Amino acid sequence: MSELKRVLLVEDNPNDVELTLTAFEEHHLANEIVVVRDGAEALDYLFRRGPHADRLPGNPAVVLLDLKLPKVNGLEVLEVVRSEPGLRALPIVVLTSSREEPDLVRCYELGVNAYVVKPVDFGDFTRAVGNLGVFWALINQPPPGFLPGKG
Amino acid sequence: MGPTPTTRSLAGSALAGLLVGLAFLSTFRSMERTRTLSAQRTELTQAFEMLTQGLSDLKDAETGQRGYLLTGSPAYLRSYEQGQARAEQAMKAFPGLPGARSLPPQDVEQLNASTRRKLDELDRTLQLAKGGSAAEALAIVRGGEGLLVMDRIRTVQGVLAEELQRRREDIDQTLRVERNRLRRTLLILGGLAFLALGGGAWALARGNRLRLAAERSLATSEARLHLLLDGIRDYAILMLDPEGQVATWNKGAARIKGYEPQEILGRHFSAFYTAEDQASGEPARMLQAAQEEGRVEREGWRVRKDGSRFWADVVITALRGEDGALLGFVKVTRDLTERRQAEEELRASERRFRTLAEEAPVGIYEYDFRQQKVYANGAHCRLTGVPRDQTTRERLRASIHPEDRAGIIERVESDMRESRTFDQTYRLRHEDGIVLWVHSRGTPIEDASGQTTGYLIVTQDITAMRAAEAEILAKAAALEAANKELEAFAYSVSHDLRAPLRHIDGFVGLLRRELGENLDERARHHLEVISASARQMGALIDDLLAFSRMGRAEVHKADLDLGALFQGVVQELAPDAAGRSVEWRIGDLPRVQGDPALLRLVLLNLLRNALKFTKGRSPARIEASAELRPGAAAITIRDNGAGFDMRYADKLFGVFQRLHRQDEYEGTGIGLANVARIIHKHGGTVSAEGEVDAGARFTFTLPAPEAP
Repeated sequence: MSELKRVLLVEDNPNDVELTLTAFEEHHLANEIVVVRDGAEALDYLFRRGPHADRLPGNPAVVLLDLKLPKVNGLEVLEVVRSEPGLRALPIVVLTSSREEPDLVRCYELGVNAYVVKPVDFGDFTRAVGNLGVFWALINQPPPGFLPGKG
Repeated sequence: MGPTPTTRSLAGSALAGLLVGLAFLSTFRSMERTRTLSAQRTELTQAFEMLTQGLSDLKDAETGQRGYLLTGSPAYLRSYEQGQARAEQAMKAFPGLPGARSLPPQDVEQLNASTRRKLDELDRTLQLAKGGSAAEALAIVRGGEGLLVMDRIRTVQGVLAEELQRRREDIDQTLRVERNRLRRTLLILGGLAFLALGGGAWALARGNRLRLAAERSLATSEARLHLLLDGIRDYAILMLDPEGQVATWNKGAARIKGYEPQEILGRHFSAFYTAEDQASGEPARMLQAAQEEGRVEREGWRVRKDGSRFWADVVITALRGEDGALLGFVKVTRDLTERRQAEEELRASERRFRTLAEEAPVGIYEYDFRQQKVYANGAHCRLTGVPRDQTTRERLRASIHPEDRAGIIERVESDMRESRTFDQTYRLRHEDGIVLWVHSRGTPIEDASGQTTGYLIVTQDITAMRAAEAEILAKAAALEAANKELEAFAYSVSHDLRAPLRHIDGFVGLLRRELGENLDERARHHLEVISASARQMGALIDDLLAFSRMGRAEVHKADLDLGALFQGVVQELAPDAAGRSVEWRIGDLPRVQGDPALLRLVLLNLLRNALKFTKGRSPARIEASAELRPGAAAITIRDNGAGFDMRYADKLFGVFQRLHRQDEYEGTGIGLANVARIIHKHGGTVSAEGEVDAGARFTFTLPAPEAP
């Protein structure tokens, strides 16, 4: 647990981005968080293509994925990632406002690791995100090939 | 047919008898013959003896003569006299003997003559000698004439004796033959007699046996006939004598007419006729007709012993002997009452069917293969518009809509060939031109042997039904579309409405952090209100979404243990009850039929409410109990909390209806509405009772588990 792992945050709403990042800070999580603003960019990043072609190789330790995204939505990203041999094992946590059962069912069918509904209450929100961070970025052992983050 | 054994044996016996007769005759004649011959033989013997004796006597006389001549002794004279007397006698008697009659007369004559001459010679000589001229006598003797005569006598006598002997032997021979014949005849006779006896005895025994067998078989036949007649119970079979009096009676007669044999035998059969028939002389006419035509059959009323009438079929047959003489009548009566009844019932049943068919609201159409006839009821004629008298198979086919006609006809004919039931939906074209949708069901009609003789087709106008169906389908489609829209709406709401709320609360929180101690009470209060409002709105949205989801949700019923469910929910609510003194009293809860997830929500809502409204109580007492009713279970949750005013009880389960202010008890007012909706979906009921400040009681019912 010496190296800090990278976290990929896929979120289109800037407010939610700010809140999430604040939450991470509150929990003193110093991991590098890469933010992409839609599903297409998320895939570009993961596949190391387009604007992200020159990034350092290696996968994030966890992907925090919103479902409602422009261009390519969260479910589509999930589907693509899970069908890509090199990315199949990538830990993905869906972080969304929707508690709708169809979304839940489909996500788990597609092999999501966790499904977290964003609480309205700020305190709850902070706690939830913080817990996620602590677990996935610190406690959990990601599959081999993760990207060491800047310390 | 050849002669029977008995005839043959009789003929044989007769023959044997004849032979016996003949044998007897033969024997008789033989015996006669033997007697005759024996008699003849005796005669011959007599003659022979006399002949021999005669000669001997003569010789004695000669010896006496010679002796006297030689000696002159009187003794010799006596023997001469003796001999001479006897010879004399014999000479006289011999020719008269029956045995001598058959001898040649000249020989007998000669013997006699010679014997005479000898005797004369002897006498002469002796006379001479007695008179003293013995020497003369001797000279005669010496002369040898006497000798010659004696020789001649001997010779003839020998010849005759021989003849007699020969004849005797002949007779002996004949007798022997005759005896043999007799023996043979007697043997044959004996044998024949034996045969005749035996044959006769055998014929007798056989005749006896046959007679016995015939008697027995006759007895058996009679018994069987009697059994037969008795066994027939459906027909009265009785015999009448030539006058019409009842001579025999069978069980059928007893059953049909009601009389026991002893009551009716000997009585006149007109007793079976009605008074009117008797008066008109019908019985006598029946007998007359039977005699004239040999047999008469009529149907008519007859009367039973108890006076009741029945319709009968009567056959009277005249019985005649070989000579044509009337021996009596045989009367066979059949009770047709049952048949008539059956006919009546059949007619009634037919009438019923016709009425039913005519009044039925569906078209009924019957087609008979053999008679090529069609029966269509009123409804059917109304469907097609074809009048009843014009209803033919062709016309009905023409009523089928042209577009459907070929297909229908082909399918129906195929089914009819296989005697299958068919169902077809198609269009009919009424004579007026109106098209209607119909459904026809055809069933084969079978006769008693199972062969299909026709088809019964029931046709229903389904036009209205189809229209209704189409409407339902359209409505269902519309509903489905509406539901889909609703779903999309809910999805959108849950996502898009929540995000801003989160942001509000989130940034308010951040703000609070930023400002920290710089905030005064008022500012802090304002911020708090903003936060609270945002959170409230979030809760409302959540509840609304849940409520709407509930409306669409399907109830997946399963057999579940309420007690376990309760315990689970209580545990779930542990954090809410933390730090408080709460007494949970969960009673004996039954197993029920219900959706586990939905019922969990019900309990969650109710118990959470109970916890919420007992906030001020210490200890908070929350009880759950169950009452079993037929086919259902009623669950009651009681609390000792704030209760409610019964006046507003009907608002309790309404959506967004609250009986308490937000600042008193938080909530959205949707929990109970949810509960009501879920329970109603299960087919149960909800009710509530409360008293201000004295607690509340909520009851819901659920159907009991289905029997295994």
